[in-house]
Amino acid sequence: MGKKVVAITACTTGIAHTYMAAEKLQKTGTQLGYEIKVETQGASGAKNILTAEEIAEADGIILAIDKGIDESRFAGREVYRVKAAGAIKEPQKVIENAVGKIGTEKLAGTAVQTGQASKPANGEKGIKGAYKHVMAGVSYMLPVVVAGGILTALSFAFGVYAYEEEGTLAWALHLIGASGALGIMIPVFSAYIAHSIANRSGFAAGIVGGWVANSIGAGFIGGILAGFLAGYVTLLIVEKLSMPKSLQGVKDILVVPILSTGIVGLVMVFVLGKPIQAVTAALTGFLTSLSGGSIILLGVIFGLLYWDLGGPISKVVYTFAVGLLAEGVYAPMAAAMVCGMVPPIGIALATLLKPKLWTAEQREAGKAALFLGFSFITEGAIPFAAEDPKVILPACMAGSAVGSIVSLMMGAQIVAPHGGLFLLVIPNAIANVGGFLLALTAGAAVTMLLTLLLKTLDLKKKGSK
Amino acid sequence: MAKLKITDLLAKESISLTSTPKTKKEALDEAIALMAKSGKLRDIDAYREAVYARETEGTTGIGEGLAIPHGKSNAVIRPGLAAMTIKNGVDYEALDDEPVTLLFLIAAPDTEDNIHLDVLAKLSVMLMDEEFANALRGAATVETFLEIIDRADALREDL
Repeated sequence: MGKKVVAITACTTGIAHTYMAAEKLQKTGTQLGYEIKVETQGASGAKNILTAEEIAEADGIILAIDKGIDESRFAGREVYRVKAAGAIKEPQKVIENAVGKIGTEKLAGTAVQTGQASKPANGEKGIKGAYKHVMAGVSYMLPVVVAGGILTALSFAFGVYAYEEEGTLAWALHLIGASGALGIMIPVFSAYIAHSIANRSGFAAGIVGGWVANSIGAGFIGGILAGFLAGYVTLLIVEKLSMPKSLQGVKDILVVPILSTGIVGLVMVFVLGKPIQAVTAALTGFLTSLSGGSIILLGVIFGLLYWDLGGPISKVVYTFAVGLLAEGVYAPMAAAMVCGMVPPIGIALATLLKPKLWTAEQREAGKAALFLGFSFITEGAIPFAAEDPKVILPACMAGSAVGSIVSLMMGAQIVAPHGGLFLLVIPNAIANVGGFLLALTAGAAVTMLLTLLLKTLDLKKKGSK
Repeated sequence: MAKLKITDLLAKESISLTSTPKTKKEALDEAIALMAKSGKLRDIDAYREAVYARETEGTTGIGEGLAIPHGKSNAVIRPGLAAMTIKNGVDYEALDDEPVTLLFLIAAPDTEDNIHLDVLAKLSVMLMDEEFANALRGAATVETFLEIIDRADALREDL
């Protein structure tokens, strides 16, 4: 059997060259004795779609494209790039170069989203498949978090309350960063988890479900749930709901988005939203009953409750602390702020100390996370936690707990509900600055050490398998 | 529904077998005028712009005497074709620098109307067959020209 070649052709208008290039490659390839399959991405959609298996088995990959296409299916592979017209003109050279790896380009990454455009259902099942979907979501969420976090932090540079004055630059930066980017990070996350599972059909339910998760305060865990729910509900509707062929267009454009988005949204509101409300109320009562009791217990509880990194449970701690500000009790606010700052700082330090344990992307994200941590933007830790929860979450909980105990024991107090290290420049915002910094350092150190320890153990376990 | 044929999109009045353009621009303009004759265009200038814009991205003279200029624009009322044979050839800045002797102009509306686009794609693929292209170049009358397409169209059920 001949060598296997796969190709994608796509031109800008998608009505002529796409198909001519495909025909040339197909004919020439067959004549030369190759087993060739060509996917056309023309104006009327993709045809003759390559499956993940075909791509995996290919000895040569040709991208005869004049426009950007989704190349994630070929991540980590050698591809030969050429214009569609080039494939029409010199099909033989194109095929031979692709197989002989002459002038080919190795695409970054490892094959992440297999079978993406083929059947909506990804071949990967179980934990491994789920991990890939989360990773796909993280990769889209990460730049949003970094942009949002840094811009929000910049707004604090004008003073932690500067953004409250409408029309100022600080206000604009806060609007873009905090309301804009950080406001949509969870929807983006869910949308691309759903997209990874069910392709474009899953996007609507994913992004809306994520937004609902965010607005009911379900945090990034709610976002993951929304993404998976959206993806699989969409798949189910696409596959199980049969409609006459003449109504196929109606199904794609009306039925699938309305049904999937409606179902996911309703589930988020009623099935997830109600319990979150109940738990939030119960925890708030619990915290109130603790105040005045053991400092160490309160510190531990703070740290443990911060496990969801700004999600609904952390919000309980935060809101509790902010509520006490009005009563003139400032120590819990300092402890809560330490809890929120420790995770991104600790993880960032871990990436800086042992870069070899992390991917290039994570190392860059680590640098941003350091700055986000300094600014009390816990979200900086979320991309890491979503990728590797069993390492990151315990490390963060322990670090936050240690940090908040130290903060409470040192009697650190903070009078503002946000701002992070920017508060240092504001007179009297922090009482016992030394105690506060000591608490941060201790917490971050614990998170860093635990992250490195757990990650190393985890990698060893995987390696020995 | 009967299967849509290529010739359903190519009106008689949009075919010229006696063209003698001197330049690529003349060839394109004449083809665009032929397209307008069969009432496919809402706005001939807007469509011309789309065709020229496509040409600046890279020549549609794909070699072996064949050119397939095309424009996708909302100035197009319904999808259509115009065809010209050019006995003496015209310099079209083709990929292989050979003069163009057969030209098909494609007009597509700015929608995702699959059936028609598929027909246009089919023609593009069929034109890669040199025998077919040469038969068209030799057609003496517009009727023969259409018949040749119909026959080849029916033979390529696979597309």
